[in-house]
Amino acid sequence: MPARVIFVDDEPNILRGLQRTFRRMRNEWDMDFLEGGEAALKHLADNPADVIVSDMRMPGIDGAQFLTEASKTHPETIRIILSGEADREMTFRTVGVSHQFLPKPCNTDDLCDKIQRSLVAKSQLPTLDLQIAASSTASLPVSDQALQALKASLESASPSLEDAAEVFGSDPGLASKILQLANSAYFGIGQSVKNPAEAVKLLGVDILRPLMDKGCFLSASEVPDLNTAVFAHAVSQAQSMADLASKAATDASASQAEIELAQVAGLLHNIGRLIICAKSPSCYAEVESGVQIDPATVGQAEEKTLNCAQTALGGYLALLWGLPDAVCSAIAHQSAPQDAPDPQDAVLLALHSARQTQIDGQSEAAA
Amino acid sequence: MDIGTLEKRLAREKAARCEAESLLEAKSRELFLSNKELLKASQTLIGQSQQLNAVFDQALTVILLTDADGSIQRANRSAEMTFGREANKLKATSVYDLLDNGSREAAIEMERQRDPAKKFTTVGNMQEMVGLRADNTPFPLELAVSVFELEGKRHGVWICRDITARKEAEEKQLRLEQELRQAQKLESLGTLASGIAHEINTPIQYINDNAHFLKESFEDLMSVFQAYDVLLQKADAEEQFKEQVGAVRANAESADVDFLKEEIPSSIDQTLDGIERISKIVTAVKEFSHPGTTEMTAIDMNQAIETTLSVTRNEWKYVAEVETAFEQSLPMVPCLPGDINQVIMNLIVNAAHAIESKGGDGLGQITIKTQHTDNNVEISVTDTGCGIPEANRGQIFDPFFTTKEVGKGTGQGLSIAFNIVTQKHDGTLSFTTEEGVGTTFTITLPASPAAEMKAETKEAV
Repeated sequence: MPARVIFVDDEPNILRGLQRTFRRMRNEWDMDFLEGGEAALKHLADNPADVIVSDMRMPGIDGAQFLTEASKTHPETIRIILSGEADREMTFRTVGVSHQFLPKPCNTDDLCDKIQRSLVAKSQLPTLDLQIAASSTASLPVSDQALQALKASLESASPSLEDAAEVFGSDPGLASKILQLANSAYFGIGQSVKNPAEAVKLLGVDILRPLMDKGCFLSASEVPDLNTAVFAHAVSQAQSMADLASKAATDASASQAEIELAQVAGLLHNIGRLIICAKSPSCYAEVESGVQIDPATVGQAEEKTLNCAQTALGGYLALLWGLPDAVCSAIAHQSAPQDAPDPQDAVLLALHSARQTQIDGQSEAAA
Repeated sequence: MDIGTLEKRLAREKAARCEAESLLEAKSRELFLSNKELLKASQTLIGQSQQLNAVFDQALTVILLTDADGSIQRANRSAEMTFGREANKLKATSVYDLLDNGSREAAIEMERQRDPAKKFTTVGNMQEMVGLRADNTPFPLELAVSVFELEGKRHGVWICRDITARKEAEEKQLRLEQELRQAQKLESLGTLASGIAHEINTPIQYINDNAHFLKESFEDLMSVFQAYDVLLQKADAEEQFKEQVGAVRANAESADVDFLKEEIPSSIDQTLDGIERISKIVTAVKEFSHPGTTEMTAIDMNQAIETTLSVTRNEWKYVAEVETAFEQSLPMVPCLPGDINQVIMNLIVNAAHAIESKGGDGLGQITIKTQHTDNNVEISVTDTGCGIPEANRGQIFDPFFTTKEVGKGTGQGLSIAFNIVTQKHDGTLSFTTEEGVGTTFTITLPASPAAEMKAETKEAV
């Protein structure tokens, strides 16, 4: 079945232009071009969609309002903003309900490529529930401890971006969100940002503070039925994996950029598990809290209940959020690099070998 | 003579003496009293005179008493200090010699207008003139003169005040106002530019989409054309289609189909090329103007320079070729992006102007380098222009210093750049230059935030 893609803009010439330029996708996509937010909502009421590409500034129902509505009624959609407008207040309203923000004019080949890859990753998830779990994630859960440290660094009289960068760099929930925002054009022109520290510097206190105040980072204590033991274990495993992956990349004499990316890939290697923690906590019902968490058991619980590895789920979220390509690929293919489009990628191999090291360490500890 | 007579005479004489003595005493007393009063009056006069002298000398205004010809008869201390000459040298000097040529005539005219019939003419409005110190250094002063007659002789009282300090304060104020105006102008230009950039982006999006569409669909059409060509060749052989085939061929000929096949794709390619350039410029303008960023933000300096180069392209493309030598592993630099963009822009524009004023036939060369040294990022802009003459080297960072012709520059560029780099970013801005060969300006910015740097230096101390 072809993927259903809708384009929403108040400027008919833009829609016609998109229609003409995506004519080459006519066999793969089922496309609709809708003038304005009202028309788009009306269309969605009767027709499902896989991908929404929407303008921001529109008369009547604007992009932020439309996407907020669409994210409720059609949470499984991939939601991309294509806009020349970067009005800050409006932008803040789109942060949780859209996945990426592309500035106009955009390279349509890139847009096409992004959509295609996201669709492929989406189709690899076995159930609609899992697809929704990823695409309805506005933020991954963040431990209260990390949130407090973040507050302390940003709310002091002289906010310290170094401290904030430290916090962002050591928590997978915070790191993934800030990388999403910096790699898109939400607050700026959208540049390729490799690591959380760079993203923090790029966004600055002016943007980070309102993000925190508006609750753009999800506190783990607000997640109902969260299995705290599994969550805490996942976070600590992410932190140690970051170090292991960066070390593995260094040992393989990768470039500085690749080492940084490997570290980020390590920190984000189990964001799929964090999605499950927040969206499908019953998955871990059989994992007893209070005892030593065995990662193998957790993985088995995921396979059994969801029929899916957390890596596929995490890889999909990373793609949705427009994280660096190498990180997306490493997360998705960490256990089987040979299946990746580029099996020899240094970041992927570093994460794969870090994973081996961690497994070896665990079996040693068990023995 | 009998005793009686003698006694009488004696008595008479005694009385006369007594009378005389008392008269003397009375007169003496009178004299004494009047003397005492005189003394008192004279003391009062001395006191008053001292007071007047003190007022005259201590007055913060210059007071000069002249005769009818303007020759100074008396000068106060303020006059000595202001004109830098001793009292005895001032005396007999003409008051007009204390003024520069232009002011001298104005002062003569002013003095002439005073009506000597009116004694003690009220001091008119102070007029601004130029005075001369002992070494003939000119300085601004305010001056008024009153004319009066004393014992039938005409005199003048000249009052003036050195207004150098006030003038400096006024100039400083003016400069600040101008800087503010400049900043406001740039800010509103930035807002305007980003607004325009946004307006342009929408049409660019669909022009680009349409051009892409034309390119692809023309290729599709051409493949259909090829199939038609095969059909046409087959029809050639058939007598019954002769007329139609002829008509098709004639049509194709008059439409110049072969030319279209060649030129349509290349015209579309050129269009796409142009669109790409426009969108690069628009993105650059948007990025460059960064409205509202008043906070230190980390930026990729190499990219910022590229942006500035495309925004200023028009300023340099006819005079110079630009070469960039960027260090690829440059760390992000925390800075005020708008300000730093402005600094780089000023340096690039200056480089272009330096090359332009050197003249010559060929294009000059502007080289922009970035490199990472210790904890700093260094950006250098080198031109092959006229260089800076020795005499001007000390002044180039002064506000309003310019060697450019009127209308070409406000003389603020380098001064603003210097202020931004050193004051706002804790960096340095320096240059090396050789006349006729060229100039290199080098900006050094701390790669890590200033606060951290300061903390480190404190620890080191």
